[in-house]
Amino acid sequence: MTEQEVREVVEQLLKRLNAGDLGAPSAGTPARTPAQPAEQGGVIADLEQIDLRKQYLVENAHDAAAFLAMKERTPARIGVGRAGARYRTQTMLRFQADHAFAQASVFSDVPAEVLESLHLPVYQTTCESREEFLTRPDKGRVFDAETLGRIRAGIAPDVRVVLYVADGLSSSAVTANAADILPVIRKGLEGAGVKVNEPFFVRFGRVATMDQIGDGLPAEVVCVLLGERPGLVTAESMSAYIAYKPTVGMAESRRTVLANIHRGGTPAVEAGAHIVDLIQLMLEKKRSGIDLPV
Amino acid sequence: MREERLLSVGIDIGTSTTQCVFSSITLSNTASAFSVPRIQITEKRVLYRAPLRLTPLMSPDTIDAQAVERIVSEDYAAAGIRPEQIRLGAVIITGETARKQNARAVAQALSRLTGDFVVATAGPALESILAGRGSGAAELSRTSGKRVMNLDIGGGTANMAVFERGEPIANGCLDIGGRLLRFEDDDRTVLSFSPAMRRIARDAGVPLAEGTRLSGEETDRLAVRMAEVLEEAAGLKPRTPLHDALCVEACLPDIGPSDIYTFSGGVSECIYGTDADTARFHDVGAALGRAVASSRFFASGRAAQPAERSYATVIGAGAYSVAVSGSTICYQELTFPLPSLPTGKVPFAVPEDLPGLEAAVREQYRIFDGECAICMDGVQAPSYALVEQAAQALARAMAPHWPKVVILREDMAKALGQALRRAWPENTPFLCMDGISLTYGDTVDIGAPLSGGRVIPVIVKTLAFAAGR
Repeated sequence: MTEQEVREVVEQLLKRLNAGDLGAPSAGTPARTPAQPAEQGGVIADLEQIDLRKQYLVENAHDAAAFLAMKERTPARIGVGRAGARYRTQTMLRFQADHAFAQASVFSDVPAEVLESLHLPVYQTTCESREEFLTRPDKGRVFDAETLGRIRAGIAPDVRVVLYVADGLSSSAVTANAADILPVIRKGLEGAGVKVNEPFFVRFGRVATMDQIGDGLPAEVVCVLLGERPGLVTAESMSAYIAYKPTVGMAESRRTVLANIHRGGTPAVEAGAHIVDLIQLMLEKKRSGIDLPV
Repeated sequence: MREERLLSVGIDIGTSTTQCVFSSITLSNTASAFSVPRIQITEKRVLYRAPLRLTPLMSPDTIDAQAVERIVSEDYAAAGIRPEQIRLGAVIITGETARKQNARAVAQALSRLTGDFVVATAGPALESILAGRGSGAAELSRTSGKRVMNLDIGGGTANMAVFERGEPIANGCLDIGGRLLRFEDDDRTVLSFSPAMRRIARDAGVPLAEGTRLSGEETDRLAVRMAEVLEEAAGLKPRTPLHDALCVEACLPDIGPSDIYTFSGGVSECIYGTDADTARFHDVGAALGRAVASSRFFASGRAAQPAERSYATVIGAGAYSVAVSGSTICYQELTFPLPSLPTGKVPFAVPEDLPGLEAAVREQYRIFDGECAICMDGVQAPSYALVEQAAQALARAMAPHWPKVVILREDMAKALGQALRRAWPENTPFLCMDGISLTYGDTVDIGAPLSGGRVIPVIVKTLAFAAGR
């Protein structure tokens, strides 16, 4: 199911609940707290538009403002109130919607239009399908000889930093962040006189694709931006894995990781700017991962 | 780096006493290993409090700068701290404004001891907030979830700040203090009094003249009237014309009563009876303390004793005046510190603000005669295009000015800074930082980078919201 389909299902469900008045609070409960989504005039708010950190559903709260101040600091689903021993309807629906969105992000492709608009040539690992990608991690780390040759042919010999994007476990992360993070990294490095390749996209790609791509290239640093395994907080979180002179079979500890890149975490542009500094440090120190003093 | 400890000094040169406190401030990276670093102040601890001393004066309105320097040198020696170990801190000259006329001379005399990161003078608003933070009232409001008002009653003024959830929501200052009326050693014969005291005496119907004797009842009547004005400010009693007449700069906004009242400052020791030797000052302070102790503050059951009293302001100055910027910032070629920069705030919080940005920045430079920090909220999770366009607009508008400082609240300073670096000629000095929230009219002192250059310490000298936000 796509995100859009999920939303439609949820909206319909909400409408049905309202029509039958099933969702109405029992007699005696006071009016809803103002923070919750209005269902004015039969229009149901888009669940995705509700910032959970600003939503507090406990009725007759002793100090709602204090609770909201706490909620500012965590994305956890606290202060959701209850209906008897259970979640309230909208909490349940939001949970299901977020779960569905997370699943959809894992099981869907990055739309071709997105990749085209970013001018990213597409290469595929040895995985033939998404199912294979998810069940055979080994195949998602390597390319066949022909594909690898084409990737390497596209990287000029004077390139010092190889930058590319992979879908990883969340296509939504790529869709949400790639357009903002890629130019920040490229402009930042080029502004500092560091040559970067024309970025490309790897379909069915895992982190270790960087090892095969970088092994034996004259380029010094390889940076892959890929979708993180989605959670219920966000399905749009991206990670950057960066290594100095990666080689096939190298220790994982040689990778420097920057995780949690999304609008609620580190915004893409700031993460990109931080990556610029990290890569410059790696070029200077000639190392990465836990050997890199930061 | 996991943790970094910095020594901080706070020096408060007040109307009657001078205090010096050394604190340690701990900076730590609180982000996980796989995230962008987040350097925060994680601990503040008072290491040494120098004994209270009377402020040395050359004349009633002039501080003896050399004598202050001597006192503070002794405090350093007693604490076993060398000036070069100090990385942060603030000197504030508090109380009546007249005293501040030779503030510059005092700051200069102290510069050898306090390094290059200090604040020379503070307005009543900052004093009130520092006292409230230093006393523990701000923290009490955070932990209790209640509205807490701290009244810091010193020799010259009463500085009031109201806190909710740890943050100041209002502040104000009154011409009420222990030293407005001074006695000879007999504690009866009037030695001197301030113009504010003359007003209070007229209102209370007590004749006041130098050299005349006041009865105990008359002194108490004056003190009770002073305590009443404090009640009026605190929302416990309707305000009278005397209250308005005694406001310094701006009155505390009338926001109704608070849940908890705490008192700090020298007079608070007389209120709580925590200093046995209150008689040594020979002024109205002891009577004022007694009057407050039997006022509506205590009768209402809302008064509480804060963690710090006499030392509240100086602890506030030493340990609570400094904030650190976000950890993704961008700067080059600047010489720190950048002291006392006014902040020109421009509207830039949503992408739609972009078209007006350049003109707004130019307008702020016009208002501040070409020298100010450009402040804005910034956009949450901005697009690359927006950052680039904002940088272009800022680069044009800021090009002729110095220093080039941009301060944002939202996390976008590094991206914006890198774009600015590209937009200006190579090696143009500038600073672009985030994580600092400012209100129009604030002044900032920007210190030398800490924690391996990753964060910038900032003292925000709040002038705003004295009249309510």
